[in-house]
Amino acid sequence: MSKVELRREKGFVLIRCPYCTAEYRVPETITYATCPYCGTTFRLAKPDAKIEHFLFKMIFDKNSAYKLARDFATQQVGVVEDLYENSSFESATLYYVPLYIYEINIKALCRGEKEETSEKGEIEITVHGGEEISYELVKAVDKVPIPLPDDYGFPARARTYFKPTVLKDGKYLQPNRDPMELFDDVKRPSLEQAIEEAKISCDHGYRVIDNSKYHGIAHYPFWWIKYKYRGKTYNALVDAADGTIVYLEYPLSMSGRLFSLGGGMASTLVAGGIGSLITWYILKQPLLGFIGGFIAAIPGFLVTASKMIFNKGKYKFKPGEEALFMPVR
Amino acid sequence: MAISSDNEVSSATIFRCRNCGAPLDVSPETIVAICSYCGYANWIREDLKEDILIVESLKDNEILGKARDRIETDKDLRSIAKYISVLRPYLVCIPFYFVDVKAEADYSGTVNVRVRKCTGSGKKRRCWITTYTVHVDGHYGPFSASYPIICRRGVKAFSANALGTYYLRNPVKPKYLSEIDFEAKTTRRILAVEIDRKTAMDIALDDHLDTLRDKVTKEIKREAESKVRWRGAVVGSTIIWKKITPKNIRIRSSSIIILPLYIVPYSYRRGVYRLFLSGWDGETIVAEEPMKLSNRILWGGGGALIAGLLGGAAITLFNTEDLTSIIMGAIALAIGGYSSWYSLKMATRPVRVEVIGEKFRAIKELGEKVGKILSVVGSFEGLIQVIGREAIHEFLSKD
Repeated sequence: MSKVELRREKGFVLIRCPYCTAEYRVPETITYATCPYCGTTFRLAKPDAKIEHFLFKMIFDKNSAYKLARDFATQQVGVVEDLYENSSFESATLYYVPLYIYEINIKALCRGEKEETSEKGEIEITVHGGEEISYELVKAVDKVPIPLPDDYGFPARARTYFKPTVLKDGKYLQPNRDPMELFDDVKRPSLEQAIEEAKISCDHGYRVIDNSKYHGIAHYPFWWIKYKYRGKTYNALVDAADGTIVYLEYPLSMSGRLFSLGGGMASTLVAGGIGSLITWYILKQPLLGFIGGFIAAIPGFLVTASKMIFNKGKYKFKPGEEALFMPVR
Repeated sequence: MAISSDNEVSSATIFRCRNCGAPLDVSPETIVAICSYCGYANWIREDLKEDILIVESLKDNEILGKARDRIETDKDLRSIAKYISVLRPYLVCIPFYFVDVKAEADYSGTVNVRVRKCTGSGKKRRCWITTYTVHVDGHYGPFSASYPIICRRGVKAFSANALGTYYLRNPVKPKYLSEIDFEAKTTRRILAVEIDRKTAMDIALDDHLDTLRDKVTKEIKREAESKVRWRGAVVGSTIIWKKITPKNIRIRSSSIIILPLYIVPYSYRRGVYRLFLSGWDGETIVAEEPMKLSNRILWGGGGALIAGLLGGAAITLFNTEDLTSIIMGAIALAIGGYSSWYSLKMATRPVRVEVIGEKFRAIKELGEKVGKILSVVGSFEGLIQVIGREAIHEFLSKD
């Protein structure tokens, strides 16, 4: 592979690809350049360093993504009964969102601490300080045009090499944040945590060993789907690699809303009733207990109220609530 | 040669079959590529041939049979089984390290323990809280555990973690990758290894020692509280200084073991749900199931019951005009509020998720969260002592 040739002119960088020798132009503000002909990627500030760049495979096409979103909408509380029959696909945009992959590997070892590795690959440590080891994914662009949660991770699914054809298929977002600047921000909490652990562990001080690495970029595919129901447009964000519904809007029916709100209200009143039984038995003052039970049930009522107050329902995937309040990945 | 010096395959390399010269379809995941023209197995990652173990998977139709069996016998699904149609299964083969970690810890700590004391009886009864500063030290462990570490960077996948945990409990003998007769379809579903053994061992070490530190912190509190229990009812404790030194740590890792995970979608009415099956025995490890109206009512009712009980108890405690009891009342009200929020979130969720070996997982999770709230404000035992013995007795003896 020959060297990258860069030439700057009026806010743009003219690049001759080191692999296929094609010439192309990119705005000066971007951090990474990807050859539109062969897919070779490098960092503008450090063109000779090797970069890992891959894509997650798009397994769900726009039709299956729309169907996933529509079918998931029918599973929501209070949704209109005829969504399946009266909704139709409007449009779909494929976004490739770039994410930086960092490996955080920080150890704060007690003075004199040694790791002994045996021949069988076993590790023995006599006294230990602190450690933080994890992988972090960070969005490589300042603004993502789709509602993607910050702590969204990769699924266990196949990747593929970057192919220039994706530039035609979808909106390929160019990374514009500096990966090394971000690296320090990403590392800081782990560094503090490891030191904190070493402070409560070591007798005679500690030393920090930082083996953290910046691995590269991955582009991840999402479908931004628009669908119509009785003249109104609703949006959905679908993970194109594993089919997770990340964000979904759906029409609520009046009867569904009233029924759910009624349920929430009934639950609050029942709580008040039980509370009043307790204070009636102990204090002979049922009203006080009713108020107590009613207050304790308000957070629950707010859950139903927030879901049912507007005629458009919203669902947001929260990684921390997976498998408890929402489906699994 | 297709492989560069550091075992990473570059995107621009063109691969050809070593037997017939036809072009090969290669991705970053490819360990072995089966030529679609002549069927020859081209090892792209020769270095992994003898090092990686794989658990062989059942075939698609066997998995479909297992999924149907589950639907027809599961207590929640069998009544609606005739309305369910099973869709095409999807296989993914995930590489894991299984890491055993064993560790001990020396500890010492200074703890402020709050104790409730009372004098007199009836209307002259007065209660107050005294704080005692207690020093404890000792040795904890050995404490050992095993961790399934997915060999992929940045993966957050509940189902894959559940597969690793299931394998730990139900291990089967894997084979070497080189002993397997591959079909082209299967090889494309094998995910490549992205994490080396040392990093996997470090990840397990981090998980293990974080758990160990939590356990020792609880032990320090428990010991300090038990030292002053004879002085009165313990209502809470705060660690003001502690030292926890992990010692004699041993870490041992398995070879890489690739485990097959099957995802079987099924449709019921208009919704689509998924079963996650372990590929080697077809056992359902995670199941998404439809939320029935009865499930929603049960959660809504349960939330109302807890909120009502705790709300009523809170008012009763407020009414004693004793500071400790009022604090207890506020805690009861907070827990009641949290429980009603949690229950209504459960009642309005789009699907139910069942995980193998984890019955009543949702209730346990709620219990753990409530436990955490309690540990912030005081020790659980102290609370029970206060509410159970003195306060309740006091309330009942009123009038």
